[in-house]
Amino acid sequence: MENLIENLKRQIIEQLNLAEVKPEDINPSAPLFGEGLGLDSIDALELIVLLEKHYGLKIQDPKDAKDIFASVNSLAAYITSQKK
Amino acid sequence: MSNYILAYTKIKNNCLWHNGKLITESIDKTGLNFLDEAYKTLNLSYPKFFKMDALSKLGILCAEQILVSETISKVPKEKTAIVLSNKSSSLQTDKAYSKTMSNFPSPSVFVYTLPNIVIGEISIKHKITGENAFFIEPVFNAQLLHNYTELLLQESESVLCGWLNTSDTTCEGFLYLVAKQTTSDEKKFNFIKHNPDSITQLYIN
Amino acid sequence: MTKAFLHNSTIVSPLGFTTAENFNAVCNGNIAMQNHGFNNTNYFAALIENKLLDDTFVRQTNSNSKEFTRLEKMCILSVKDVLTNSTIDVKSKRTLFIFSTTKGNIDLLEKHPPEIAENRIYLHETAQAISGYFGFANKPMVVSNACISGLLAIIIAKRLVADNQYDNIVVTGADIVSTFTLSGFNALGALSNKACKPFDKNRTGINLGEAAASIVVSNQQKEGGIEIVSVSSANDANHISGPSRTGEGLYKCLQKVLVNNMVPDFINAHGTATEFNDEMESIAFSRAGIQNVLTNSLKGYYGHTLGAAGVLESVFCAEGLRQSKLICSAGFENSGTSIPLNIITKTENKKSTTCLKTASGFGGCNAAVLYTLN
Repeated sequence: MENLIENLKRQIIEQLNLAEVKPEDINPSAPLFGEGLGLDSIDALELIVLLEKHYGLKIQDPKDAKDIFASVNSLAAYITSQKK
Repeated sequence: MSNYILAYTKIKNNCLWHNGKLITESIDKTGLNFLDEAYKTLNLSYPKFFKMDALSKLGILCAEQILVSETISKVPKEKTAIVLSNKSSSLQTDKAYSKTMSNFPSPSVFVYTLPNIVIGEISIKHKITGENAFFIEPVFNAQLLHNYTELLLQESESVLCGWLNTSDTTCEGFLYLVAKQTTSDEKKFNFIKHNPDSITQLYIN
Repeated sequence: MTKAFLHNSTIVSPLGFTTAENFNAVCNGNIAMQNHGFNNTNYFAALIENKLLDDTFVRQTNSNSKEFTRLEKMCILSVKDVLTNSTIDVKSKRTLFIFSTTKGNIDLLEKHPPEIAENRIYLHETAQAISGYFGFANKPMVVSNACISGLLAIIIAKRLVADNQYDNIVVTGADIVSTFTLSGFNALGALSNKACKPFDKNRTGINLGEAAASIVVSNQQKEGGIEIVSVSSANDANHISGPSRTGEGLYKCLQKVLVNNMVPDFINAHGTATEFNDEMESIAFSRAGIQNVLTNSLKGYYGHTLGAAGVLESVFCAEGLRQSKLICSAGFENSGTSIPLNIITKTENKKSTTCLKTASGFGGCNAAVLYTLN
């Protein structure tokens, strides 16, 4: 799980062009949207691309993804649950 | 009251000039890495910059020096228009988006495939809410910009105008702010009269 | 200041190749959108039939259809019809051609036929190809400002005519449906896979459409002339792809064009059928006190025609005023905005004197124009 979280942090930074953010800056339980990293609606769409590109998982509607994208931890949990 | 150019910025051959003074330059005279380098040199502290395409980065850099100075703080942002132009529209970004189409189409690249997005980015950063226009011209057209700016100044109080063009390997920017001023201010602050000749002189030199 | 008027027009679209054909089709409730296959994916979009376009082009111009791109053929047919029905002298320095488009010949990125010069990917070269066909003496002006381009081109034309710089300006707004734009809007999750439903509570997004609409902006006062009374554009300064939730930019435009807080007889809104656009428009209209005005969107008939929209839909504003017709807002069944609007649910005869046209686009831009029947 730790590897997955570290990988996710790097992938998020790359996919979302967060050039001034380092993996150690991201608190895996902090909110990704609103506060925390302050991501917006376009970032949410890019997270959908990230899930498909790196993990082969497809989310049809960003609204379904609100819980999944709440934090890095929830993203990791979702990915792990889909692997079963 | 007459219309004057209050300030101007240029990016050419990977050099950034403000009101005729060199602010920063890159050893490489071509290539788009200059844009990220200039951001760091200017200490901009605006993380959204890195999500932008080259055209929007170019516009943000050119607009910054003009829009944070003392002179400009007197200009009401809600009555400031933005009139920009270029030759290539968003072609450089269109090609970049095209490359993502076959595998993983990128929404964050697609949103930049319109030339006026740079107007949006400048507006957001500096809270400018006036009139907009983006013209496509084969070369820099001082006459067109002067003409439309003079028309807008019948109701707007200032206009940020210019030319922002990117290709795969180069970027060229020229932005200037026009506003009504008294003739005593002209001498005091070295403002330049707003006419096609003076605009062309600033662009060429 | 000189007054500026809308004169004759042409719409080249899936619903017909003249304004009359299009107006009649829409009054009969015809919808331009259908299911189309693009690269193994189905999209609900409004496309002009290729063979019909080529055959009509060859017949009307005696030209080789390979010399021009799809978009250019649509535009040439559109401008040709407008010029045929007017006395405009293209050779005069007092005549101008303004071209509005968001993506121009973007299909050339995918496939560039050898007969088309490399530089036609540039929007000004596209405009020159169209303008050159007719021999306009003045170089064309090209406006590319996202989805407000067409309305902005009319606004710019009005300002130039009012300043007595030109007598007649042919404004053409055009865009094609392409794999590029379909892919992009799909990546944004903005497309609906059925006929779009502007302002409806079950709306799920836009349909893309293509058209080339032309209209003459002139200083001549004549019967049937529609005066362009007041114009405005403004930026939300909020987000580059989503509108301001409180409709800041659009409200600013409305404050400017609704002189003395006047209330127009009907509104042709932008109404793209996205959740956010339609909601934003309802809020802006309410802030301006016009939420009870009869309102429609034409995107339920044509889809979103991007750079053509502002011109195409202004043609309908003009014809609606001239022919005393209110057009039903196709796709609307139940109100889906937090402030309910007075959406037109049946095409019927009604005399109107004033019409408000609005538009909004990516980059936070907004525009509004007030038209009046003379």
